[in-house]
Amino acid sequence: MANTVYLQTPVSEEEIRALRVDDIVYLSGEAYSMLYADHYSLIMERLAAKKGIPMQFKGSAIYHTGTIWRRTAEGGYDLRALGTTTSSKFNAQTPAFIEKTGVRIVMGKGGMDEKNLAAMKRFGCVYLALVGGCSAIYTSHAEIAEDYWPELMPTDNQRLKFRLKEFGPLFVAMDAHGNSAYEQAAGEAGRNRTAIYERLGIESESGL
Amino acid sequence: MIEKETMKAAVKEVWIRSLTVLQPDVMEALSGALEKERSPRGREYLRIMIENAKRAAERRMVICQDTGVPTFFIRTPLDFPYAESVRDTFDETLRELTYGEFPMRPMVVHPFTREDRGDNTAAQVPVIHAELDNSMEFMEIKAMPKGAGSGIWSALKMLPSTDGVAGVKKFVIDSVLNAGANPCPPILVGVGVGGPMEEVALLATKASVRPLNEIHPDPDAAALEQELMEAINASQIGPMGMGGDTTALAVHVEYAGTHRPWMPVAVNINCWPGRRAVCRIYRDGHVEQI
Repeated sequence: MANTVYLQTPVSEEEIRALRVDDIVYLSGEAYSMLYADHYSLIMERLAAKKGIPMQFKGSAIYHTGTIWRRTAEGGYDLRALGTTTSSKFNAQTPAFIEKTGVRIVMGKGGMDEKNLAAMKRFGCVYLALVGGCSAIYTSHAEIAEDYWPELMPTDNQRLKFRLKEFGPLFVAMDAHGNSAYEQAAGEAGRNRTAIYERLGIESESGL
Repeated sequence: MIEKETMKAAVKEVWIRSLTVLQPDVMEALSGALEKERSPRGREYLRIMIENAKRAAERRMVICQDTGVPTFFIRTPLDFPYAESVRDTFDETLRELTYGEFPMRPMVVHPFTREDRGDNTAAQVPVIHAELDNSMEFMEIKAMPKGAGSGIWSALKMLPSTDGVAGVKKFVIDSVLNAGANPCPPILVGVGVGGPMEEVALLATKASVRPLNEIHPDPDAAALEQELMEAINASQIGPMGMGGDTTALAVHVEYAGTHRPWMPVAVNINCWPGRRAVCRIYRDGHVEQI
């Protein structure tokens, strides 16, 4: 049976390894946004050059998200919406990121590939899925805590730290034991392709 | 003459509604899918989608944070009494919204430099498509925000005529299976067939925002839609790609005449909210938001 689990960052390896596909998580604590490839690469470059970073990723969460926000006149944050973006954009960069930073939670939508699944198993990390196109229900459980390096993207800085309060529901879709809900579904869809071609009268070699 | 401020207020409202209000036909399709869906995961995700749409409408919050490339379809009679620049009107509307009411962040960039103006305008953006119809008593504006996550799976191919309808079907199925979990299923699949290249792309786009309770008037096209819909749902990709019966909420096919050697096909995949909103501006300046 699936469990509902309330987690607080920093999370331990033990807490992460206790999660299984289909468990539901509500997360409190801190998470960092990742929206573009250069969000990853800048952090990795600075770590490689031993330059230091202002984020504390160890035991924390990264979130594939776009955020509608702006500064208020008083210097605070006016957060309008944060919701999940497609994680597969970051397939290539995330495994090394998990290894180097010790991040324990990756949040996003659409899932990630087998290299990420392997990295999650090896280093003790999980993928928590949000329902896409649903920023309205998630936004009220988050606020912006900090924004980083605004000079790099002055009109729309998306390098953010969030403070989360029972942020969810988050679905364990790839666990730290090598199980992926996406792999199960995609495998089935792949096996169904031949049957679909047959029912539509398509010869596999025809056309494209 | 219609005042510019009247037009801008109408465009603002239709754009915000497209971002915050799920159309009743989409809500009905989600509820219908929830009743039939056999996967517990799938049912849970459909429930959350419905709850999210309700909350967004109640609080005038955006359904999704990706407010997309602002795209508008205008249908109007030729003698509609508006003398201002349509381009300036729409540009100003988007600029004022981005800096003022702020339902969306600056997303639109120059394709080469990737720089932005900070206001969701750029060369040819907002995108405006216009169609003339002298039988109309009003100007109709349909807002259609095009998000990145579903839009990136759009595809177009100028197939040779020898590939036939089977080639079209294969292209649609391959496009959907290729997109898999990524475009926020259950998707609305817009398919364009025929025409020259620009027409087939436009048809697929219009098809992706056709109301879900409108059946194609051509029985052959309607049958093709049904056949493709059942085939796509046999894939078991499911809501958010985690398995289930509901992969597509609709498949809509629109077609145009084409050249004898061609069988052009385009697929425009829309994410589950199928965001759209329509307003009508009458000759006396009266505006109806529908």
